Amino acid sequence: MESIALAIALLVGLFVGTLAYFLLRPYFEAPYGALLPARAAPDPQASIGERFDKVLEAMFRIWSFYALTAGLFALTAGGFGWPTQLGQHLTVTALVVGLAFAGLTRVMCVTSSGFMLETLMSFTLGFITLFATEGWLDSSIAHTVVSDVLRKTTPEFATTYMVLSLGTAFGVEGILALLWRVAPLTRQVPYQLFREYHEAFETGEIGLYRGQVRSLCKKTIRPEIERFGLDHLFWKTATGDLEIAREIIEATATALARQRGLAYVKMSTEDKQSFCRTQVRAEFVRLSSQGNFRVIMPVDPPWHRETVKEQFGIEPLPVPDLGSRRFIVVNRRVAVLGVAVPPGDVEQLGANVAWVPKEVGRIQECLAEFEGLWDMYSSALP
Amino acid sequence: MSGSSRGVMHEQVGTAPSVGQHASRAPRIAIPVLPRRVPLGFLYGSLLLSWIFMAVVGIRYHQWTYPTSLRSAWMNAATFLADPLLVQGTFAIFVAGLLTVYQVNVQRLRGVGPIVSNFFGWAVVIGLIMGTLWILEQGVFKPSFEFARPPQEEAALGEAWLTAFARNAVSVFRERLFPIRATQFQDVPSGFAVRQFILFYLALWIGSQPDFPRLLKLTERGTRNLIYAISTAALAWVIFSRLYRHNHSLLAMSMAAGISTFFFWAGLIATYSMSRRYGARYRRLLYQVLVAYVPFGILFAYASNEAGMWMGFSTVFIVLLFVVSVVSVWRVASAEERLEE
Repeated sequence: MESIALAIALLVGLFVGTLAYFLLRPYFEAPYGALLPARAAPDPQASIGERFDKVLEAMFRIWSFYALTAGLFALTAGGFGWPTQLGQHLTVTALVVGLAFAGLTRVMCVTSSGFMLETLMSFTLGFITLFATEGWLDSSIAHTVVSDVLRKTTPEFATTYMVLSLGTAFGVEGILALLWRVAPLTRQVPYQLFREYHEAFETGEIGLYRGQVRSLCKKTIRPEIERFGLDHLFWKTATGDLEIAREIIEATATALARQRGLAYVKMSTEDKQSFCRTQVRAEFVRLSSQGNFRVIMPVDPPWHRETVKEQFGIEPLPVPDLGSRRFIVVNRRVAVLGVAVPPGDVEQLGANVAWVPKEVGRIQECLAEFEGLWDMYSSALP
Repeated sequence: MSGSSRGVMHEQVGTAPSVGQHASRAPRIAIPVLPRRVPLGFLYGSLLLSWIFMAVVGIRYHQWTYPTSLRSAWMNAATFLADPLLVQGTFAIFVAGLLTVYQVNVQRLRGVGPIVSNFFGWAVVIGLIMGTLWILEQGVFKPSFEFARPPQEEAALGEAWLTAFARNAVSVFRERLFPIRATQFQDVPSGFAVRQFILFYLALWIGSQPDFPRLLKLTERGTRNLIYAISTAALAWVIFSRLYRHNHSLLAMSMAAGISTFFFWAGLIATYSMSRRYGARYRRLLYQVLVAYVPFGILFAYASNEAGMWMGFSTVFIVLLFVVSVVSVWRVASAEERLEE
């Protein structure tokens, strides 16, 4: 029986570890303060209900991260300590240790790469879940009522768990948000973090997943470009996930070449990036000067509206439902800011057309501003 | 539909084109269409609140029962006449009605289905949900807590009239299906509260849809508030009368709140994730639900007398959610490919 319990525990541990790797990504990718709703650029035109939703979501995310970590620690102690009633006292200690672990990892993410911590955290969580499951399964096989013992030895466990996890969560995130106010990111901060913040601010999205983005790029953006031809593609960040970059650049270049009756010659990645940037800027300016282009923005309104307005000086139209067909993702590796709607299609795509530019100059300003920032921070690239 | 229509109309037309011609061929029982939105505020708010409620009130004061000194003859009669089962049944019909109003309103634009067939469609769905809940409650939830009902002292009032009648009616069936559990361990969680919470969340979900129609000449906000008020009152009455007549302890109510809140939203998000239309938008919530399951599961296991069963159930549940997320990714991707063709 015990070997069966061990096997099950091993499976569950592996499973939780793998899951944790994907589940916890958003918490490590968010730079400091970003988990709090203020960073997500709330829309002043949004209703109270919508803003409240956003606040609640942020609270929920913060709480669940800390409660998950601390809970798994406590679960391990609770499961392990079952044979000796003395061991049960460890549960609350484990809770505190788990919370300290979560808080420290979260703070360390601000100053160093999230990747190692993310991996470390997943391993730890998977590993301790293994012990937790094994302990609890063993105890149920031996017909020992773990929770009964727990309730007797640590009667305040549930309340302690709640108060400590909520307190630590909002304490740590509050301090991080305060830090953000008094000491905003400077030159010393790696570009990776700056970019993450910058893009999270722009899109208002905190949790996006690499795998999904890649497949979306392959399956949606590329056919879209190939099908409708290309009016313009606005390229913003050129580092990061090169596979996506290649997909988009090749599709762009092929479509451009086809439109103009030219052959597409393959280039090196560096060339492609600079080509794309110059080309796109030229296209952007040309189309803007004609005043006839539309932008599909891949975001879920309404709270991003104000951001877009500020950043690009363009007035967003109300777009409640993007549907899946024209869903183009901005992720934090590569940003595809806009793909033009084919002329004549605008009426039909009414629900999908997002932002119509009013001020051409503002767009160029933003572009220049970004280039400036790029130059400033690219030296700090890992 | 003319090209000049914009906004809300436009979206609905865009997603379900040219159904209007088939109104005469509508089926007897209409297949329900998913409303557009998962109310995120209610989702996060209720998850947080129910967790805190479990930790602070339910588990801490788990031995609390309604004090007999606070009883009155009027209330004894009221809780007997306004039977929780009666209230619950009426409320279930009310929720099916709300869903029908929404459905017909949306389908009027889409041009499908008479009112009655829509009502039956939703009634069947709600009936199935209630039936599944009863089976889960008898087969999984109550055995995995293993608590006997509060001591039935002299002052115990017993069940109200319809509940007692229904309990007798199903008792043979129940004893055959769940032989050992049928007589003992009936306290935690309260089945009535679980079902009522689920109905309550169904009403909130449908009432908060952005295109929910106005009712009774009220404003949009008035309609919503009316729905919320009725739902809250029904929920409060069911919980109160079960506590009042000493059918359940406070722990049973708090665990019912936690279980129903968590599994309602998990089920709803799983349903939305499986939808080709909404899958891409709501799938990310599955991961949040998975993260939140650990703190919830810990409180469930802590309060239970049969924690091993909770661990097993949790494993099955987490694997199920994981399967849903994988299937969802696959379905949405295949739907997109089909659109491309």
